[in-house]
Amino acid sequence: MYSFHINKYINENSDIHELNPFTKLFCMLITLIIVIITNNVIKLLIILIFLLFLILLTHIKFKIYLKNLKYIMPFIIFIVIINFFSKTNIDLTIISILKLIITYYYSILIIYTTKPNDITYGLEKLLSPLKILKINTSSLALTISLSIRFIPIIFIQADKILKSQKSRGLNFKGNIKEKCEKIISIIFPIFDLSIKRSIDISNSLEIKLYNPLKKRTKYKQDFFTKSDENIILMHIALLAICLFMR
Amino acid sequence: MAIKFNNVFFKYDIDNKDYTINNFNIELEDNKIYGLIGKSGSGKTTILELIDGLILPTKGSIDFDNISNIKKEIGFIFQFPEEQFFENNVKKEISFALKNFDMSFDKLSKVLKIVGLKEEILNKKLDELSNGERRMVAIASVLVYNPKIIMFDEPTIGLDYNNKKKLIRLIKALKDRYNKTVIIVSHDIDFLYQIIDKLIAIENGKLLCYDEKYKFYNNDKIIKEHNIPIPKILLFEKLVEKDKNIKLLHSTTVNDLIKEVYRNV
Repeated sequence: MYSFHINKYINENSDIHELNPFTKLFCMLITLIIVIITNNVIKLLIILIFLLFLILLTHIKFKIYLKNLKYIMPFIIFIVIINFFSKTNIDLTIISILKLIITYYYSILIIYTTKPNDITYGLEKLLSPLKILKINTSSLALTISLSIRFIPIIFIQADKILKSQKSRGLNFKGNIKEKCEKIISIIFPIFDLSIKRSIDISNSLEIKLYNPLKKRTKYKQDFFTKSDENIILMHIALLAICLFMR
Repeated sequence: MAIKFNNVFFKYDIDNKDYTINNFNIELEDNKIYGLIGKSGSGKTTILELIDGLILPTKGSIDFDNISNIKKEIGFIFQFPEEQFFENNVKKEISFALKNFDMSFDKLSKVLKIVGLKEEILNKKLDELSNGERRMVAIASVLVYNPKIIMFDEPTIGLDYNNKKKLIRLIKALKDRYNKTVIIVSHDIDFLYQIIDKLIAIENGKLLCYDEKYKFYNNDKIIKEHNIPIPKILLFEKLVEKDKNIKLLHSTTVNDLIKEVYRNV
């Protein structure tokens, strides 16, 4: 029940929401490649500004994005401290922080604007070249999307068990050994319950006669609009800038 | 007075404009059974969690009388408590709270008697139990530390007829024999009507109506306006009264109602 907006789709009416999920994932791939190959503050800043532009296009409140900063703050602080003690160049520190922020916010943007089912669809399309290697891409995509789906379930379950323990007088005071014992007492039932949950899901898939080995039809049409093209072109242009600009 | 809500406001997300609990004021007395009704999402469970101190009010306060340790003196039986077991055998699950509150283990057999379970069950694994037994184990694991106030969240869901009857007897005994205050959240109005003393209706986190259960159903206007469910026994009672133009005494069980009708018609 608490703020699980870390991985939640936010329904808005925007151009980014209407893009083909494949386009979004493909653009994310391009951005990741750019982030990996560039080691220049200015180029990274250009990408950041471009990302800001995309974020503005989503019509989701900027405050919600800013709130997510607290989840990567520990990593940023960690990078700063490590680089400070190893006397690394400040440029390198800024570059690594920028890279972290860009990758993080790009994935947040995708998660906020794409429904989990659409992500599966996009992944399946993105992984389709693997079919040449005789890898079953649709079951791979299903596995990935199910594991994404499981994160909030596990959190909710942990919250329930914690509440039941707290109301029966558990408190997390005491020495480290006791604390560890208490935390382990939560982890095992969660593990147990998530296995039960996955059995439920596999049963319900089986009841619906789901067979990953057969060829499946899609109720979604493959669409590719002008804005899909534009976004991909923009990303390719960005890639070109980062590759060839000096 | 056992519990007093003073202008309590609560919301889960700070950014959210609407409050889940909106300006809630109520006084609950000792040694009574309260029923809490409302539509799904109206904030019933949130109120129980507020009382148990699992969440704190955003604004306002909740006062308790004669209660020093909230966790120890208030027991909370969750919705589907059997899904929240975390130990692997029954004895460990029931005695979990005893360990936390540093209490002796000698009450275990007494508590099993109260909920109507046999002593052999203590050595069983939780997976081996039936659904009804699991629910009773969950109730026993709360009753074992002898809280003054006991709260049930949807206790009848998934229970068969016999277990439901057993639960009704148990809740009545909690009030009459053990002098507990009981608060029950339920959608099952027929079940509630049999046992409660007072009824609280909420809507969108606001108090709609709060009264003795017989007086509660005199507020025809509110009941009609907000679509509050009416127990079948009361409906039949009113039907007979209207049809035969007589006045009946209120009854809470079918047997009592039949006797009452026979006496008057």
